[in-house]
Amino acid sequence: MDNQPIIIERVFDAPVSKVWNAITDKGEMKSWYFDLAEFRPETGFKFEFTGGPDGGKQYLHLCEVTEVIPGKKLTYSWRYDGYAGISFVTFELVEQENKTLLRLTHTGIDTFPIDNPDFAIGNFAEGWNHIINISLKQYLEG
Amino acid sequence: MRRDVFQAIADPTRRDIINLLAAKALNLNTVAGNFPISRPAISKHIKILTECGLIVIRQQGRERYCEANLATLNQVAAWVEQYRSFWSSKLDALELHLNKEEQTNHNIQPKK
Repeated sequence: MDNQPIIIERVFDAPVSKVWNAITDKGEMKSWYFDLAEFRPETGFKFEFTGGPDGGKQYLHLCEVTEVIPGKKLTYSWRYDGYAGISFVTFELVEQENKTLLRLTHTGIDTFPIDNPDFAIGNFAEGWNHIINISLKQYLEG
Repeated sequence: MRRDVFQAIADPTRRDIINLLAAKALNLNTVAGNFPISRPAISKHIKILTECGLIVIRQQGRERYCEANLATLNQVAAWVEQYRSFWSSKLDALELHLNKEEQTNHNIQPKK
């Protein structure tokens, strides 16, 4: 289905239940992820948020929960309003002796129109890099 | 059918062809000689790779040489890499969030 999925694994020194709350509770998601108006880990639940470069074009992200196994797996679609393509983000949690292995898989990135000027690497990627490097840095040091 | 770099690298034989040509430009017969599949099948892959901008065919005398155009591949790498760094940073933030909660729980008795 996908040529270039991103798979990132990370072990957190926290029980599964705590990590599950952090990725599904709106209040907790706000502190590390995105500030969502509402979030419910239920298949068919739709949510949206804007993200993009500071002072640059903001992209409306449209997401819909497609699979939930409480405490174990959460998948939602991830696409951009007004653009072709759809990707899927999956969080999987595995208990490892009181710690939690989180496996993040992002598939379908290649369905986005990279030839669209709005998505050109220079505009889009640098925008995200800015968010990550500047915003996150401020968050970490603030 | 899509004709972009992602289509080009979707097939394992095409990825092998790119690897082969990345080292050196080769004529069609030599490329075909490196694979256990029929020459028409190789020609079809070469055609797709050409349409996707990953290889360029140059006529030299009676031979047609295939050259890899690796700049196109960088598009994929850069595009995917930015998502990888995005998610890595988000997971860093998640870790920080979890640790922060841990500390809070140690310092203050949770009221829940």
